[in-house]
Amino acid sequence: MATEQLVRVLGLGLDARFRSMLGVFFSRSCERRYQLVGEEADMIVVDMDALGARDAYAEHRRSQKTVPSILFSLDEAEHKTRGSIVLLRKPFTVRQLQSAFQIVTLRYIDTSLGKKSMPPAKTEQAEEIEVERAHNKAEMPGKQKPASTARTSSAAFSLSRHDEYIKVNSLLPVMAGNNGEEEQEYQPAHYLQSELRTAYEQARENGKNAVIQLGGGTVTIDPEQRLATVGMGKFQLREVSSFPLNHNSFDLSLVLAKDVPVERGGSENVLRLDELIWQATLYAAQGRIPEGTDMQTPVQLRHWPNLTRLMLVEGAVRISAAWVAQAESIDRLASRLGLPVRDVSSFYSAAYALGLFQSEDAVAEAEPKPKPEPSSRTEGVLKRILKRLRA
Amino acid sequence: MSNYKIIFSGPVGAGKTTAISALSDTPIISTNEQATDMTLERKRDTTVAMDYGIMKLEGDERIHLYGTPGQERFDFMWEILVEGGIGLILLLNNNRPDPFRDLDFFLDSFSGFIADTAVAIGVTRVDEAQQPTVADYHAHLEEKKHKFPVFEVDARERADVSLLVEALLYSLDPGLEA
Repeated sequence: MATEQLVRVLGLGLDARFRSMLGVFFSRSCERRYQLVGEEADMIVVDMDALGARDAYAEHRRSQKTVPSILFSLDEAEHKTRGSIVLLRKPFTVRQLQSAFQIVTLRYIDTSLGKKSMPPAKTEQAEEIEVERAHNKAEMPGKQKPASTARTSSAAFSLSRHDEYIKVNSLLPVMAGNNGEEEQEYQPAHYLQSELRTAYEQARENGKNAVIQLGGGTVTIDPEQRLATVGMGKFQLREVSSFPLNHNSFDLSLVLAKDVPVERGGSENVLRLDELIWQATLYAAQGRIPEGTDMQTPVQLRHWPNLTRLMLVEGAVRISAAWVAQAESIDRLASRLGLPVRDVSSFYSAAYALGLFQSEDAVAEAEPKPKPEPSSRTEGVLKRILKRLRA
Repeated sequence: MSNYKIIFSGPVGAGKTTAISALSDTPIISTNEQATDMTLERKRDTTVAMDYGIMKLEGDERIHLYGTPGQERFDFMWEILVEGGIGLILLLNNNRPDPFRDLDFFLDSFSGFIADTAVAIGVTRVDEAQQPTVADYHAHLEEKKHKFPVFEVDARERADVSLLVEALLYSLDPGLEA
């Protein structure tokens, strides 16, 4: 097989962790075909939600209009692919990321290198691309199919379809430790989720509102109403929630104040405290469980989370139903429901942060309530209703 | 053709008609009329017989969505309506004087049906009345050893109503595959 041309990738708005993740992704999933470089690049990848990234990207496009790009963004409105720009909505899966690189490589880079005979793409015409489908129909650049196949598959692509289930675990491919192994545990005390809890408890004890000052903005907590005003954008909230807090970079301080109101009025940045803690925990956990959690110990939910008002992980309704019905370990539940352990772990971490699990004593004393098994005929119709609800 | 039903119940103004409309593939058939009793203060037109909508599945299969009348004086119909039902969606208006009384009343009225199937509870109008909270509902249910799903719901939002129905289905069978 001919040696594939190394593709130089310029990253804009990528923090150190994102760069590290891409490095792991390139080596594990792309046969080291890509390499992050400085200025001279064959393609650009941009985290559009990062501060200054849009301006930096606009600047590059002015000087290098033809360089293909992959843009990552939380903004659904941006998810149209135009010409040589592939937009990938966060959160995305590794497979979707693979497909995005594949599309750009096959259509714009290999073509320009003369390796493929594909005609140039329609550069200005808006075109939706289904990355998920792309993955199913073609393989990664290192194992290319004939150009005609690749072109056919790319023509009908679309980006990640809107899904009611937010795949939080796919925000970044994996949380890799220093040795490259996927991490299973994290320390909640190092993350915003714990600061929110601490601030709430201090505010409640003092009968005042608490203000957490972070680098990107503030979070004000009203313990009486259990509401929080988030004075930052959603991507900034994700940023400060996802990383261990560092007092040098985040300038964290806790101020008790009675004159900082939190008003319920439908404003987007006013969240229920539980909703905020749940969300911050999902961002922090990313498929991991709090340090010291035993994956084999059966646990049981005291009650269902208020799922209509929470950010959902894949399978959240199933997990809730199963963990309310009976005590079960994380490993066993994931296996029984056929869900990735990372999804169940994320759910566990968020529910644990809200104190939704029963004590070990209560679990030991609980007697499972027998429920009539649905008949096979009923089970079939239940599945079809589910399918219809998700259509 | 199957004849499965999902039952929507709850007090006056809880959003049963709206919730069925959010899911129904056909225009909802309502037997509303002007209320003549104390419900007039809350809702000029109210359902006195039932609401009916249809959720179409693949092929010719249909799920019938029945909404019970909100007025308690019509509760004789409930036994008829629930026959063959998959489960109960109970919507509670948080802006009523005593939502827990409503909760107890409906759980008691449908106790046999719930024991055989399942129930999912949606609390509506939380924007108008913040108390009791969902946590309060859980605490109330826990006293009676119930662990039913309770969600805040905007009956106009299909996503909310769909999630509530999903919770009902998984309560029936947590091992159900999507």
